[in-house]
Amino acid sequence: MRRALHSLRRHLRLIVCLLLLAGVTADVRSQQVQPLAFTRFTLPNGMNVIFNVDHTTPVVAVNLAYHVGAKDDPPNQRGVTHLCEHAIALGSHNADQPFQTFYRSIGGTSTRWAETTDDVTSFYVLIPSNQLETALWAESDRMAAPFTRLTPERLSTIRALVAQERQQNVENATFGVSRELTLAALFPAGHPYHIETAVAGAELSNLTTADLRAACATFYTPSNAVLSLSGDFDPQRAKAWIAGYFATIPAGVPVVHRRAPPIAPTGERRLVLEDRRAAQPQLHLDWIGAGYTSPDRVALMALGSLLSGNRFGRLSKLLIDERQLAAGVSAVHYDFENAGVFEINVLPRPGVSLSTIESLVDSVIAGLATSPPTAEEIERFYAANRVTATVSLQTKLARADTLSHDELLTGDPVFYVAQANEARRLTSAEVQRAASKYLTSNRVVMSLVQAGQLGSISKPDLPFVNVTPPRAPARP
Amino acid sequence: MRQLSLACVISLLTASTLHGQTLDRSRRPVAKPAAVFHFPTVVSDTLPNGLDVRVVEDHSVPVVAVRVVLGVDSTYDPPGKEGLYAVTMGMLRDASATPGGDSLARAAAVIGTTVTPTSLTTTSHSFAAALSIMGRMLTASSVDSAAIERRKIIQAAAARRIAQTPSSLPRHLFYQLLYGAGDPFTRSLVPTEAGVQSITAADVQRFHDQFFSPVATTLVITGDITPSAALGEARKVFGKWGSKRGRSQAAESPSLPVRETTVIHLIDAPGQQAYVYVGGVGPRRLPRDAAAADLLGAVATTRMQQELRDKRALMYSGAIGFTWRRPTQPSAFVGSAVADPRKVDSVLVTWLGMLRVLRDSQPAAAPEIDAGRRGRMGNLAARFDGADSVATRLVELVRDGLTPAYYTDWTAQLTSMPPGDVAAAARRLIDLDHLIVVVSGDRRVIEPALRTVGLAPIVVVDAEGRQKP
Repeated sequence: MRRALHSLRRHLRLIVCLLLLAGVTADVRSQQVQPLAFTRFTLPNGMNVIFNVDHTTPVVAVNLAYHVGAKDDPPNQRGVTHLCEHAIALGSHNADQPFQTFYRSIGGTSTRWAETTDDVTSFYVLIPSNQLETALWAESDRMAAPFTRLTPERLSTIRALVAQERQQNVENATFGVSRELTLAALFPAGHPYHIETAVAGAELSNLTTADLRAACATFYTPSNAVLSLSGDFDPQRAKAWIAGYFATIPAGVPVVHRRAPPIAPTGERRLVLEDRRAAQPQLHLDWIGAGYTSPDRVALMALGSLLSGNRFGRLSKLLIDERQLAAGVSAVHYDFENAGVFEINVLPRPGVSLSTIESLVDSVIAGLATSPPTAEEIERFYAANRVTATVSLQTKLARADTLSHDELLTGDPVFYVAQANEARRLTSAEVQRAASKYLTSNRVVMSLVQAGQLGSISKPDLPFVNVTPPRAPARP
Repeated sequence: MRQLSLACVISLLTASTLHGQTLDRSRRPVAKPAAVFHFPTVVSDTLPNGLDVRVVEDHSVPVVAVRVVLGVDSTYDPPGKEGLYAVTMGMLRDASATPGGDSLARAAAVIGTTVTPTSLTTTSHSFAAALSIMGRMLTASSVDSAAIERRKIIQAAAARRIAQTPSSLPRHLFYQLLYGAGDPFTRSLVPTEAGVQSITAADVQRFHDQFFSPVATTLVITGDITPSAALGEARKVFGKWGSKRGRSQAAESPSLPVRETTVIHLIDAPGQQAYVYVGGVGPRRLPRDAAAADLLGAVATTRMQQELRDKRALMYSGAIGFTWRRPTQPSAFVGSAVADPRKVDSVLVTWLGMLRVLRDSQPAAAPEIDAGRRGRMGNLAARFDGADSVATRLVELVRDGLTPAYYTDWTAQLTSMPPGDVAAAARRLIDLDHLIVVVSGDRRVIEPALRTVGLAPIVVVDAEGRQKP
């Protein structure tokens, strides 16, 4: 009798738990990401302007983004777009000093002040509200004549700075060149995403100021720009200032971007990267993914979550908890405007063979065909995606950046909302289909090992290319 | 309605003025005075068990941030057991508090929120569920051996990652020379794999018993929630957390090492870039001293950027400032730069020359101080943008034993600070005869050039500061 009662209690508890979980799940599905409140207008010269008003803190984020990135570099001038960013940051005719110094002097702050990605060049700053007109005056001044402070001496200086930036952020980080080498292997020569933003500068060493102006001038125009403001300002007054300072700037000629051609299947390419400073090896597996507006993008993001999200990702669970072979696993999809990359990184525990890791990763990927994503796995992805889409827009800099980015690439400043909410309708079959479509044998497998440890690479019997740069740093 | 009409008239007038004549871009707008900074309103309460709760409302986005300030952090790790705090926190995060093993992690995954024992940021809708998970982590009383072993693996990997990060060695050596190798802050910077591996379940249990207590803890809640709702949830989740332990004493810092003279410590680390740290002991964090020091740091950074980056391209990134500690402990006056190894001699000659000029012949001028003041004030407002940022500022105040009045005093001091006070701070804080200089880079390239310029004696050391031939 007592056993029967105990069994009944257990079953009741299980039923209650299932009901509660079902309730929470249904609750999660019912929640949607709410878009940022915004207004938008276009100046006669084609410049799009987006406002997001929030009086909580007396600051305004100013983000001026141009639709030009490293993918627009001419093939023989790789890195020129990044150099343009530095040339524009030198200052303007009337704000006659580097913009970082200028903005600091009026109380401005920023994470990086300016950034050139593969698709977009952004200049961004958070300023006290009372300095908004000054910031708009300064930004319009440099848009009206973007290279007035560019001299041969300053070109030489910014060329050296760009080279140092690359050394600091890429070459001097342990395995820092791995991403560039991966993209170079995934995207064939001549493809817009074949190479990363920063280059050592060899192709730019003979560039004159006239060359740089000619290369840049087409892109930094009102009709190729979006100005986003987020924060504490009066929209009517800001609109008048923007009309006054920006409307007289000529629209510029229509911009033609380099298109991303289809990529022929290349099979598996196996690469080895050595670094003397490395304290532990890594294994990277990369596939070409989907672009920012592709309908497959959300499914690939869900796939990343399914494989490594929190403690329940299939790879995390297998490699970290069950087999205790790895200290870290990540599977993510990151995207450009017209393409993407799906990447799995594994950090093995000391002494664990990369070959073993690769075989297990492959077995999990193969298992997706017979073991489709469960409803719980998709729910977890949706919940995390929804929270991230809301939480990541706390700061005004992040909001202005998102509004500019989405307007430039999609024509919808809150495109991120549509994608986040689209995840609610994602099915198991769609995720499974994305896995079979993208995670194919056309991939790059990179073993990242300590210098001289070629015996520890994954599957050393298979043909591989050692892509270690000749000037790899050495450990003391 | 009247306000709206007035705004429309003003904007139309402004627009017509700008449109109605040829735009004269040389006329820079004149900004109105900046808004006076106000620390957000903090609602405080103390639960019967001693837990301190502080709440700040911000309804700009539907986000709530929660932080927990325990009476302990990684500076409390016993010598040789660096990483114990991290392993303990990881164990609480991973441990299975209820049957079913992964229940806490599973519950967090259902609401899509990353929850640790001391931090979460989520949508306002998921706040209550997330706080409940945090409460179960934090109020657990027993240790979980499996979770400890799992966290040791992760922490050991983190220690290896720190060891292979080029900037970590010179930074650690700088603070070792400044505060001493035994200083808790210095020790916390570089946990070792061996130290992490030596941690036992008994260590974690002892550490937990000694330091985790509601009386020593402050709960910070900021964002899209009312104080009454926040306090209500706090009572529900933490009200039964019981412990009789009081606040723990902060770990003792040994007395500061004495330096006879300025010495350049060179770590031989061949690579594409060199890391340079220059500095010394700074003031304690009292509003007047801190305001003067912050203005000095702003001026020094501007001059450094102009001289080393904009004019001579000797570095890509670098800054000079103060890293503040608890008010009872001295801060660090520290500058850092990343440079081409072939240019380290030029970097140091220019940098030290700039500091000498700033101290002696060209002290900070009024326009520089005004720019620095605007920069610091603007930066201050930016540091309160969003629930996470406000929570972080509150955590700093609680951790350092300060109140929001600190910022009121600091801004008042900053606003009224005369140039003479900044000049005095420069004379007091820039001690060129007793500087700590740490350079990490390719010795073959750096050492000969540095010896030629003869700035100071050079000692070649390993990563722990031990002298090499």
